Amino acid sequence: MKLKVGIFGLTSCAGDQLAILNCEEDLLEVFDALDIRVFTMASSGQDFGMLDIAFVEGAVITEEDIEMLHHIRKNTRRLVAIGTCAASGGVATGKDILGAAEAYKLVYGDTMINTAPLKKAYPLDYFVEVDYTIRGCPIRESEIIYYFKKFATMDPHKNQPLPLPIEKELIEDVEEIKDHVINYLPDKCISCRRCVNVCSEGLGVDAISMVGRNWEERVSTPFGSNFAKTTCIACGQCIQFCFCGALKEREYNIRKLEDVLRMKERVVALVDPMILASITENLRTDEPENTHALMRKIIVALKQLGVWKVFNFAAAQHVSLFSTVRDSLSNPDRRKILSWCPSANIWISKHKPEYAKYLDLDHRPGPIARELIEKRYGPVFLVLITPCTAMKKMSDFDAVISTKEVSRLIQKNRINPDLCDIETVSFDKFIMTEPYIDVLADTPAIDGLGDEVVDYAMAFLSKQNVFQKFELPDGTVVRTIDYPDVHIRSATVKDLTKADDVLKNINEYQFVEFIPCLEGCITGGGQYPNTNPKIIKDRLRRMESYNQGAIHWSNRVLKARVYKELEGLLPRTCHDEEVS
Amino acid sequence: MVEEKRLLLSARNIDGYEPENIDHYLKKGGYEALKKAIQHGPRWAVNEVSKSRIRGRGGAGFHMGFKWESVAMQRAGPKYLIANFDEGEEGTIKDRTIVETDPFLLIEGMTIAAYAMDIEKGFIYNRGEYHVFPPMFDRILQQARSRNYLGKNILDSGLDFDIEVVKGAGAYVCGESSAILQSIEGRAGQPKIKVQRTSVSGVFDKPTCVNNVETLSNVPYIIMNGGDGYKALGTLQSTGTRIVSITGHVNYPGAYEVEMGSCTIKQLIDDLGGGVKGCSIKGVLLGGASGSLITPDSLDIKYTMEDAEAENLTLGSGVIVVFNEKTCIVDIAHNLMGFFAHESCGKCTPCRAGTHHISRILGELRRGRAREEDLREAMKIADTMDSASICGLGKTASTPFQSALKNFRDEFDSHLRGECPGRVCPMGGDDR
Amino acid sequence: MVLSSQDREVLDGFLKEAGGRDSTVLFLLHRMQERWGFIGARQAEYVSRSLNVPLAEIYSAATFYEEFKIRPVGNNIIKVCRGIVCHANGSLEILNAIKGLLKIEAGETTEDGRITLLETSCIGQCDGSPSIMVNGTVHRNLDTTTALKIVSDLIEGGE
Repeated sequence: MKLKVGIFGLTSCAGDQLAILNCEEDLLEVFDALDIRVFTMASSGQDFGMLDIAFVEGAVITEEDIEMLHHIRKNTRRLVAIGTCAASGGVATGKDILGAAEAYKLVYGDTMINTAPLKKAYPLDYFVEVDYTIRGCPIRESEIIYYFKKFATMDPHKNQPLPLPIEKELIEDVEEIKDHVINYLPDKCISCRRCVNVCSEGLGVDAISMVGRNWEERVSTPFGSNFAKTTCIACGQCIQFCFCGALKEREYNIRKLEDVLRMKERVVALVDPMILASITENLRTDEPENTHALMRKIIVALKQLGVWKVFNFAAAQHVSLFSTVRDSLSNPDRRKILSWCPSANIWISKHKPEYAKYLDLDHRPGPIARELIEKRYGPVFLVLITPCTAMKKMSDFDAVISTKEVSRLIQKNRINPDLCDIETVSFDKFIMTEPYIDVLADTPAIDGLGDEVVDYAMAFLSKQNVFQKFELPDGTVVRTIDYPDVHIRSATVKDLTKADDVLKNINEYQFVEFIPCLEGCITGGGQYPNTNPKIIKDRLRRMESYNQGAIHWSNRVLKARVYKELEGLLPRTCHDEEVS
Repeated sequence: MVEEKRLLLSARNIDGYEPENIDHYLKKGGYEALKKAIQHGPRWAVNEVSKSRIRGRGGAGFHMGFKWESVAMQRAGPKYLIANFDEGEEGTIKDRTIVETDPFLLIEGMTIAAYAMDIEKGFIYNRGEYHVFPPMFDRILQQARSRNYLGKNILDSGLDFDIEVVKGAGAYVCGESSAILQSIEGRAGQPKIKVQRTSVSGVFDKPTCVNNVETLSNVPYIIMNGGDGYKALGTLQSTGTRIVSITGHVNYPGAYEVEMGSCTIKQLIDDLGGGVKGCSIKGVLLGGASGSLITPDSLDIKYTMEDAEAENLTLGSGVIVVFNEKTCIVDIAHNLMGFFAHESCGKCTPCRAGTHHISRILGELRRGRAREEDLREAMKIADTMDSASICGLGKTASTPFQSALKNFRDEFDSHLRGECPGRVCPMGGDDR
Repeated sequence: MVLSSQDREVLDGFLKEAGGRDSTVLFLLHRMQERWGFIGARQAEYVSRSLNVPLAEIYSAATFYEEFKIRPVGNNIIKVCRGIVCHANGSLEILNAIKGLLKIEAGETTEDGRITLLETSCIGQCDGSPSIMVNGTVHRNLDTTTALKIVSDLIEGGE
């Protein structure tokens, strides 16, 4: 069955379409395998029905371009950007760097030409999801034939494991691409198996495996499906272990991100301090170890980029714990598996569905943060800045940006962190209005939230306690407080392959949490990829020093005050939500 | 004049012998060995096999006695026995011949092995391409079960043993002993660097004995005639007989069983193989696809393992492939490396990339498009593969190429100049 | 696309057959290949759940071995042995002749979808070289003429 193909040009010199035509006789062979429904340069007539692959050249500049692009995207299964203009905006962006007026003058001098004001040039992926990109100016003829032949039998998807399924139903809807947070680029893969090893033996998740034999051996999900449709829990450890960039997080088009931050109204950012663990491995700063100063610099940088308010995500985590403990201690039929880690939530629902009823989804930090922020400030565009890959699937936020993306944003906009004036800077507040408490509070997620949970339980019960913390042989950390009439036990499971020991005895624990990422959020999927043990130690040290200097939420006075404030604000919830 | 010595293939001497008929097997003395083994006990059986000094006939040549001792010693059960019928080495037809001629011999051999090492479950790993045998095995296993030669409490010995036939699916590398374990467990057949030996931790992480079909088929004879009786045949280091697969440009290609040390390679080719088909022998592939390409001068070596080792050669899986004067050695080397490039499991880079690149270079050489540096590059890659590959496939894949380069350098030089003396290679042409 | 109840029944039958075995995955893959001509995603998912073996592992096995296909091929499969002995005895000429007759390259399927032509490594028929396998049946001691006769018979066979 021939594939239905369309070749289009937006605002372009048509050089890539011409390059295709230049292939002459080689083209005829290609035309045998592909049913070319529309080729703007070579024929007329625009009724093309549903295509399998649309090749589009040119930048998106005019209104017609935008309309045409959306129309094409709606009517094709796969969209391939060809040429530099389609890939990144190309030549036409030159004027945008100078500014249209300047550029105009440079080329035309004082001549007046009647034309509508020039718009900015954008690449295709600014507006729509692009499945594959072939760069070149123009694309090379040998590459054209190579890719045409390749696409005749291979689905041109970013996530392109081999071999591919024949069942068209497996090629998913454009809409489903949103769920797709991990991309695999087979051209960069060297078949080292680290990703498969960590996913299979390290985590017991088995979402990917080595596929094929001999020179053709590659990493793949089963039958080439979207990661989201497999047993993948989006922890991103595969991304951490890949040192070739063959596995990547799904990232926003950076120009789009800049425009959103700058032009949208009431953009607020929730920053997870855990990004400080690895951001200095890329972001240059004079004092990488001074984490508090660095956090303040990042707050300043974000505001320069257009963010209205910057909040501490750790505060949301603490609040989520408050409410977890409050609701669960008073409710005998409580849900006990903490839900702050989105990857662990996916893991429970996909791998241990029989325990899903214990999952306490109502107290996730995201919705709590939004509720409290909007109560104080009204509707906002909520952005989370996090080292977590699984968070990118959460619809709790309007946008989720990783450590890597925020570092790139800061650098691309030439913001030098060391020149940021941090004299009076701190996080904005969404709880606790007292000005003298600097909410540069500690991040609980270095080692799981077990300590804090037990702490808060203690605070709520406000009694003397005997607190114990010990580690089981398989690495699970257990914390207990014991006194005459109450017995609190929490378990933090770090090795998912040994989780059954705790799950089978779940009734012995009041709180349980699971942490897929191998060293916790320090090696989250959104951190800079690094598995060097020394560097991981450095990261841990950095975060521990951050915590030491921060106000401890274990401070009883603080807790009591927060508790009073929240008591009125947070409604008691019922337990009826689904995990996506 | 060399003559065959038919121990394993003794059924060929019997007119009208029906391989699938257990009564025919019993009539010629079948299952007497099992009875004798049961009489004397498992310890005795292991001892006799050790005394026989029989070496593995799959290609590695490991002493079967050591393996058996090692597995017999293991307490943790259940234990497993695997008969390696993956016979993928190019030019090898001996295991197929045994199974076509006298399959009960293998079954009895396996049962004695199970008795000796206290094993309850055996597998026959039947290569995928041998389609006819799995149903045949099912039929003969049923017969064995019905006569209590298989199943529970075999011949009142207390031994429970049964056999499952596992069909391979087309992968030469599954003949490698760590790959065969992966395959039986339901995974891709990629070899593993073993921390613990297979005899301690093999299939399903349990003690496992992996033996070649031919090696196992020798067990009944060893038991009946004793280890000393077996040792009396052959030479000190190569005891017993071997079934040699003589193919290629010969008049009577086939599998022939000879006593070790009773003849030279040349005699095998001339007396049993019917001599070269053509004018003269140009070269011989000794051992299999992973063997060496040798010149006619080397054919006077006595057919034993030690004589081969003395010349830095190996008998491999008993393969002798003869090439006549019309052959192009570079073409042969290319075909063999292409085989490995296709069969490489892909796990380790030296083999995955090495076989691919050397094959490519040889292809270019055959089209007259390679230079001296390319050949040197190929040699370097081959060296890396030899030392850095994690399994036998990668380690021996370059042997034909390296030996060809050493023994037939002039042919490579001609191709570098753009000529193929045999007029086989597509000089200046396209693919092939 | 969901697994049809008919397919589910067939798979349950295979699973039952595999019940007494220790090596189940390979066995089931063979059955699935025989029954449907390729390893389908839905069928593999069902087997993965029933055996509690990760789907990724089953897919890895399915793509590793020559005999298992993950997309359908022709009803008839011709495998020409390209092992060293068959090669030395002329299997290349036979391969080229068959390619010419079917008008396809090795690895491809004829237009009508009936016949797929493949090259294989040594199939262990070295004493009867050159040899080919047609739908699992071995044909030995061939030359170009006899080989082409077999293929033409197959073409005329109509299945």
